[in-house]
Amino acid sequence: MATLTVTKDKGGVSRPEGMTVIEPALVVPLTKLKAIGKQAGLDGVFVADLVSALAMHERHAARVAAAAAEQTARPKRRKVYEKLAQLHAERTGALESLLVKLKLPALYVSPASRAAGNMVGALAQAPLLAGSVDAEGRECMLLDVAFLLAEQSLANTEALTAVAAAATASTTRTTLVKTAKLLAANVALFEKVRALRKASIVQAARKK
Amino acid sequence: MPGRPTVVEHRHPYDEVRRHFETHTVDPLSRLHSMTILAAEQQTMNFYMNVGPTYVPPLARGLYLEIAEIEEQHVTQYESLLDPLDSWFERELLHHYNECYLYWSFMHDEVDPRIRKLWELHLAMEIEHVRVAGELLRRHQGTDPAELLPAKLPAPTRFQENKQYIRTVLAAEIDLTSVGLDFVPLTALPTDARYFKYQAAVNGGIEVPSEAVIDRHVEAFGDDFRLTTEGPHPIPALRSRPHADLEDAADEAEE
Ligand SMILES: [Fe+2]
Ligand SMILES: [Fe+2]
Repeated sequence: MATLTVTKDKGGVSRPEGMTVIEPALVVPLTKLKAIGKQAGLDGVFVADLVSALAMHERHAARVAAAAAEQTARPKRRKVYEKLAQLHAERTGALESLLVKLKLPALYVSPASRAAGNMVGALAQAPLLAGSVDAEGRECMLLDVAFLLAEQSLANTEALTAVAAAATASTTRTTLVKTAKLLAANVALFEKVRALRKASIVQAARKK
Repeated sequence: MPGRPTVVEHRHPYDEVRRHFETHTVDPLSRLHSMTILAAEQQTMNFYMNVGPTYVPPLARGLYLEIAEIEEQHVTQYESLLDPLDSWFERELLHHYNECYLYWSFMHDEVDPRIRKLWELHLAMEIEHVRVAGELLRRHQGTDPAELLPAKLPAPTRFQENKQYIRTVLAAEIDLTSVGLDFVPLTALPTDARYFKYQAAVNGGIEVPSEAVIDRHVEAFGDDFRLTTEGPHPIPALRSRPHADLEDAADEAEE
């Protein structure tokens, strides 16, 4: 099962970069990260950090979608957001398993992963403008946030697929390909959100 | 007992920021302690900044302002230990959680049943704050507060004597200052270091209030206002009046 909030208690580990201080016992050594790229002809540290960042995007997206479900006044929208939250959570789980298959801790938080989380955090602040927009505007913002997160998940899936394809034959490659396929098989909902956004804008634009 | 003389503490703002903990890996107790020391420094800064201007004598005003600047440095330093990644909703929750932790600690330590009741009352109020902040976190960020907080409260903080600890720290670290993110011995600084330029700009060519006030005290009362119950100051250079230290200790022993 996916961990949506990573803490020390749950097994969060990381690696320091510049300003961060991490307990030595919780630092994932660079050699361990490099190792995953060796046979595959990839930069292991970059790939490990990327997978960690993809997982962090899904974690935050799952939570933001759940918040949107909580906040929307439209029952149909609520259902969509709930499904999105579930899909993002499943993808978190898949990416955590990928890290484990790559012989890394499931809750490895890379510097790139910190940035990915921060990016979603910034997006998630948009609906807090609720006091200065009307109810329609607020619904639009919630949908925009969910849509942008879905778009990024979609693009991340494509990027992971391409990275897997760029690897030379190895267990790392096989593992990457399997996870990329698993993720790509289940993106219909993300595409549906794009359509929903368009339809809802057109509807709001029509004269009442 | 004096620590580092106030006059040498002023340093360039670039040298006040430290590395921060990583929010996904930080020990819950380290996080709470960072927040507590930050709050303490904030209170101290506010005290000196607010009370200073209420004095009429320029020496008192100058002294408070001088100390207020040091407290601002402390606020900056400790605040920089917190991971900037934490969202406002997370901070709100953790803030009230820390208040719970502190009141709960005080409650455990307190022997007077009347005071204990006060801590308990405040703990009860903070538990409600945690609940409300948790609801905000859940609604606006989709985060389950129980997932973010530690499974149980860390070991309680205790009030206990720390004189020996302070003496050890003073003995080992009194010569340190900081350059950028790191603590370094003052003697390691080149003569053109930022520290000396800042010192010259802030304290150069004036009668520094924290020094002047001690001079006045020595003039009026014959000593420089110290109580060293555990023997002479661990730093010989700060035993400005060696006999006074020994007298203090002897007085204490008699009492
Ligand atoms: Fe202070
Ligand atoms: Fe509170």
